[in-house]
Amino acid sequence: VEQAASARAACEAARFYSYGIVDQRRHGKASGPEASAARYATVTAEKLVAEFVVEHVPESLSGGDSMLLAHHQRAVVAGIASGAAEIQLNLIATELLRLPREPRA
Amino acid sequence: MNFELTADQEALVSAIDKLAQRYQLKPTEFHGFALAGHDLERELEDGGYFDIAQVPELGPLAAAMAVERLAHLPYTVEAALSMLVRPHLPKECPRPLAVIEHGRPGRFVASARTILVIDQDSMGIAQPTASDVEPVESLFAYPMGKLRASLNLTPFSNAEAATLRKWLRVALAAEASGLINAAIASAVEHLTLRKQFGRPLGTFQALRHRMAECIVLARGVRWLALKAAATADEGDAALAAMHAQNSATRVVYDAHQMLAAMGMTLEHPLHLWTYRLKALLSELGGRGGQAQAVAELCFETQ
Repeated sequence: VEQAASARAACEAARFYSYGIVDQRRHGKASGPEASAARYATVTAEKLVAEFVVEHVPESLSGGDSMLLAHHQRAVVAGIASGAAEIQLNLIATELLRLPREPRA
Repeated sequence: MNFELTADQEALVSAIDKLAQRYQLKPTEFHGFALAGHDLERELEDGGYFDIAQVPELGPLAAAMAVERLAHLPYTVEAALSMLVRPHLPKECPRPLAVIEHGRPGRFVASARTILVIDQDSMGIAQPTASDVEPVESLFAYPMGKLRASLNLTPFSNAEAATLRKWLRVALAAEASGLINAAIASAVEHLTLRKQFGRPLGTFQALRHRMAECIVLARGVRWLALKAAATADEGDAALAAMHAQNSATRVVYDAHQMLAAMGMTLEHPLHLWTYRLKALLSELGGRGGQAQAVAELCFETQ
C-alpha cells in the first residue's frame, strides 16, 4: 500500500509541476529551470509506477494488460528521451539552486 | 485552472514575508534545541494572522502559504494548527492548539489551551489547565510537552474527526514544505561557501545532483500542500501529507550529509529545521497512516 501511495503522490506532484509550467506560459512568462524540475519529477513518478507494476502485477508485462505493457515500454525511456535526467539535475543545481558551476576543462 | 494569486492573497503573502524577514536569523548566542518565537507569535496575534483562513478573500490557501513561509524561520510558533485546523473545530476554541497521539508527547502541548487527542480511530478535544500538562526535554526542535493525567474529553463524531484529520494533514504538509525548503537553502549556502580541494563543495556533481533531487521533492511537496489547501479534498490532503513525510526523510538525511560535522552542531541552525521535520515524521500515523488514507480515499477499490 505504501509503495502504491508514494507512486500516486509522486504522479500528482509531477502533474502539478507540469500544470504550473503551462500556467506560466499562458501568462506569457518564460518557464526557466522549473521546467527541468518538472521533467525530473515526471521521471521519478514514472520510475515509481514502473517499479510498482514490476513488483506487484508482473503478469501485466506477460500478456496480461496491454495498457500497462504499453506504459512500461514508454516508461523505461523516460529518464533518457529528450535530455537525460542527469542533464536536468545539472540545470536544476545551477539555475534553480544557484550552486556554483562545475569547472570545465 | 489558474495558478495566479488574487490581489488580496498577494498582499497577505507580502505582509507575512515582511514580518518574517525580521526573524530570519538565529540569534548567535542561541545554542539550544528549540527556538521558541514568542515575539513573533505576539506580532502574528496582534496582526490577526491566525484567523486569515476565515477571511473569505484569503481562505485556507493563503493560510497554508503563511504557514509555509513561517516554517522557513529558525523560530518556531504554533501557527499551522491555529491557522488551518482551528477554523474547522465544531465550536470556537482558544489557541495555541496541540495534538496528543496515542499518549505520546506532542508539539506545543505544555502551552496549549486546546488539545486534540487521537487514540486509534477516535478523536476528542479538551481545554487543559496548566496543571494538566508539562514540558518535556526533547531532541526535537519544537517545545514538546505531555499530559500529566488523562483529560476530560469531548468526543468528535466520525464526520467531525474526518474533517479534522483532513486539515491536520494539510497543516502537516504546509509546515513540512517550509521546513524542507529551509533545510535545503541552509545546505546550499554551505555548499556555496565551503571549499575543499580548492573549489566550492557545490561544484562537485555528486553533491549537486543530490541537492537537485531534494529541491525537486521540495517543490512537489509545496504543490501538493497548496493544492490540498485550495481544494479541501480529503484525498488531496492524504497525498500531500504522504509526499511530505516521504520527502522529509530523504531531505533531512541529505542536508546533514552536505554539512558534514558542521551539521552535527547546535551552533549551525540546520537542526532547527531538520529536527522539526523529524518530529513531523511520526504524526498522523506516519507514512503508513498516510498510505492507508491514500488507499481509502484515492484508489478505486472493488
